Amino acid sequence: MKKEKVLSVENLHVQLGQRMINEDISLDVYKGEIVGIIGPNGCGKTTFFNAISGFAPIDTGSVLINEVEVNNLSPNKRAELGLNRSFQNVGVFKQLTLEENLMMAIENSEKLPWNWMLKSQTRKYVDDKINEALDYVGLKGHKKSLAGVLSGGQLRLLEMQKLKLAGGDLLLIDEPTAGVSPVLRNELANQIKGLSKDHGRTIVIIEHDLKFLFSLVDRVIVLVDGKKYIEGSPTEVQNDKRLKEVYFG
Amino acid sequence: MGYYFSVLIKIFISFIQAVGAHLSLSQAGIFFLAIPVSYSFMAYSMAILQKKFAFAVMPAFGLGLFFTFLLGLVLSYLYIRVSRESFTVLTAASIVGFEAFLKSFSGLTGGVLGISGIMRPSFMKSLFAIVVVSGFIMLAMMLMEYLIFKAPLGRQIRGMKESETLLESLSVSSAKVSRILITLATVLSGFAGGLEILRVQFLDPTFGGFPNLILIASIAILAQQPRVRTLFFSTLFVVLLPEILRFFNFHPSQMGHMRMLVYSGMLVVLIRNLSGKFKTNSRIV
Repeated sequence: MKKEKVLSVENLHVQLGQRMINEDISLDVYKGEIVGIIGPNGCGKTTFFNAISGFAPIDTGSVLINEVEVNNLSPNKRAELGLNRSFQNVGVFKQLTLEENLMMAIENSEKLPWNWMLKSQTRKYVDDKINEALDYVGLKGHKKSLAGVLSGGQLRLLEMQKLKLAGGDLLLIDEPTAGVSPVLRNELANQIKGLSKDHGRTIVIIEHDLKFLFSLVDRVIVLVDGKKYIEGSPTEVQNDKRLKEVYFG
Repeated sequence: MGYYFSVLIKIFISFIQAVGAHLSLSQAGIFFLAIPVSYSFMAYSMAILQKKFAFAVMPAFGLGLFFTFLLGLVLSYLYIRVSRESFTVLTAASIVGFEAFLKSFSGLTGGVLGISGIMRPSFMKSLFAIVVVSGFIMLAMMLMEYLIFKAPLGRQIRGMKESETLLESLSVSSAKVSRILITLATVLSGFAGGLEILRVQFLDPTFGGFPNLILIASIAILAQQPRVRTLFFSTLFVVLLPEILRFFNFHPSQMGHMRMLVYSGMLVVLIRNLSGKFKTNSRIV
């Protein structure tokens, strides 16, 4: 059976100022797959995410989400096509409560009308979903608190729940373990696996913690100086001598 | 009794005008400073339609509001076409520009002498009737703002102030939210201008202007929280504050200047203490 392509990047070039950040990157990601992207600092990993999600201009090449070319679409239009992403600095509104953050994700994924709050049935439905999501990560007690009061790890857990509720079938997750304690990393890994296995999401993940990443992904891509350098299964990449060169010189 | 009615009307009208500034300036962080322009624009549109084109009061009000809506669309279009800084300067400059326009085209606007004898509708002949009508409209605006805060738009507005990037990633167009807010702020400010002109029945180029901006900006900055009651108490405080001046024996000609001095001083204190809340959206990508 032919595998369904969720993301397809062809010969992507991204130039910011005089510097070519991404050069001739091609990549296909299939439904339900978890793909990891690694590489030294400044190799263009986040710019690659920004180009896919519409926050960085594409110089040449093309990006297709669910077979639709999105080069000329704004970030919000790409999100409508099913692309959701997290951010290095945590993609959560810190001035909004946990409940409101999750509410926004549900509103947009389920296309709720502007007056849904006036309908008790919809209100209960949304409330149940929020309670379930917060309960899952042990944050139900903070439901009415501003997200800004949470620790770095808790914010990441909230962000994952937000991604889950946002409903997109392609998730770009940027450094999920940044600022997260080792104890919470396992929890995060389980959540990301759950998003793929239980909810059928396709995931592309940037991560510096290689142990964390290799335990999670089906395929790894190594970027060096904005170019695709190595691609393979976690075992293949781990055993590739060039990986040591990239990280240790 | 006339004094108390006038103060009440001032509170009601200021609240109606401040709703737009509260949503755009205070909650969304959009530095939209053309609020007095739409206030004055609506008043002049209405007065000109009445005086120069013999329109009846309510059709003139309705048509004036429609023109103000079109002005809002133009301003909201500008917001997405120019940089944020340029938009702030442009909207501030529009206050001076509009005043110059009013003074220059005296054949239409009455120039520095203005337009007098603006008619009121039959149901607003007395000051008390204006209190009642503007009070009802204020209550309607309170309900509208409450619903906005409870609706998705309310969360999008507050989210936009923190990060447009994050909002876009949730498939919400920040440009659309900004356009809605600027148009709404323009229309509400125009509506307030229309009501005020029905009270004073006289119009000259000093109507609105920077004093009006300072008044409304003070209310909006003071009412930082996304709550209707905060905006109401802020309006009460800012409108009533200069009334203290009445206990001092200032000459009537000085009162207007003293009022502006009080507002300016208050604005400096507010900005000094609350400026951290007005930081531009942080880059998170």
